[in-house]
Amino acid sequence: MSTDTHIPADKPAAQIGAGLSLAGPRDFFQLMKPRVMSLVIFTAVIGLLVAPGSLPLYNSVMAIFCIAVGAGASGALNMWYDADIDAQMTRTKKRPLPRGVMAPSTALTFGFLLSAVSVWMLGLATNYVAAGLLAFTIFFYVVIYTMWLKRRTPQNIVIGGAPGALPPMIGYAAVTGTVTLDSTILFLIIFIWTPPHFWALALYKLSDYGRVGIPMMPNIAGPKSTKNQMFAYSIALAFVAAAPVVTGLSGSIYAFGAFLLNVAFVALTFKVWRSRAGEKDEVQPESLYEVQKGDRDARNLFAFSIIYLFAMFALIGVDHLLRGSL
Amino acid sequence: MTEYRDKPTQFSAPTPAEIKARTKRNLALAAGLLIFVVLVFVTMVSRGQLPNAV
Repeated sequence: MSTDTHIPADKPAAQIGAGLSLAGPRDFFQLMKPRVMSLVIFTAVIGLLVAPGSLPLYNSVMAIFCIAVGAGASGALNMWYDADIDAQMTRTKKRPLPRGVMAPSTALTFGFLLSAVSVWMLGLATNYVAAGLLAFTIFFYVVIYTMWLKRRTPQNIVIGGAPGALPPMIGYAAVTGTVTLDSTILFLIIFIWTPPHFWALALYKLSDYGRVGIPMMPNIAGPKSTKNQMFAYSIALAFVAAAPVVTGLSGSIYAFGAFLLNVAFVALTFKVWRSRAGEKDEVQPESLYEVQKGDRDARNLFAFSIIYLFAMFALIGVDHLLRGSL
Repeated sequence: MTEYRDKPTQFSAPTPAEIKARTKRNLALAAGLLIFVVLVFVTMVSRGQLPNAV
C-alpha cells in the first residue's frame, strides 16, 4: 500500500487519493481466518458441553466468543508475519495484506489488541486457567509455530498443531478451571488428526509451498515418506479416537460413529498411500479443492478430514446430551 | 519572535473509495468499542461485581 501523498502537478488530487487504507470491515474479518475460526468455535463448544459442572449461559457464550476472537487474533498475527510468503502462494495471495489493501502495521495492531482483549475478557467471564490456556494458544501459534517452526522444520505442523487442538481444552477449562484426562483426549484427537490433514493438502499443493521455501514434509522427505507417516498417524488417530469410550467420556453412540469414521479415514489414507499424489511438481490450480490428475485421492482425504473432525466432535456432543437425558 | 510554520501548499484529497472505506472502518470501530463496553459491564454484573450506583 502506498502512503505517499505527493501529487504530481499534471494529475488532479481526486484521482490520486490521500493514500488512505482501502480495507473495510470484511477485510479485517478475513484477517481472522473465519474458516479456521468455525472449527475452533465448534470444538470449543463441545469441550464446554462435555465438561462436568455447569457455567451460566451468558458466561458460556462469552467463553466461546473469547476463544473465537483469540483464534482470530492469532490468524491476524500469522497473516502479518507471513505476508511475504502469502503473496507468492496461489492459495493465499488474495488475503488482505498481499492484496495491498491494508498496511502490515494495521494487521499487527489489530492482532495484538484482539489477543489482549480476548484473554482478559475470558479471565473475567470464566477463570484464569482458561484465560491462561488461550494466551498460551495465541503465543504458541504466533511465536512457536509461525515465527519459529513453520519456515525451519518439516515437523512444523506436527508441533504447530497444538494451538489448533487446544480450543476444546479451553472450553472444558472454562467450566472446570482444570486440565483433566478427558480434556487431554479431546486435545489429542485434533493433535493427531492435524498431520494427515495438512500433509494431504501439502501433497497436492506441493510446488506452492516449495516455491516459497516452506519445508513441508512432502518437499523435504518426499511424497512416499509423507504418505507412510500419514498412514501411521491415521492408525494412531483410530486408537486415540477410542479413548473417550475407555475413560467413560463417551458411550455407545459415539463408539459406533467413531468406528465408522475412523475406518473411512484409514481407508482414504490408504488410498492416498497407494496413489501417485504429490509425485508431480507443476504449477498448481488456485482453488483449495482443484487438483491435477493423480492428486485426487489426497484432495479427497483433505476434504474428508474436515468432515471427520466436525463429525467426531458432533458425536461426542450428541452422545453426551443423549446420555444425560436418558 | 515569530514561530516558524511550514504552511502546506499542496493537499491530497481522498478518493470516494477511500472515504467509503474509512467511514465503514469508523462505524465498525465504534460498534466494536460499544460492544466491548457492554460486554465488560454485563460480565462484571454476572460476576456479582455490581457498580455502586446500580
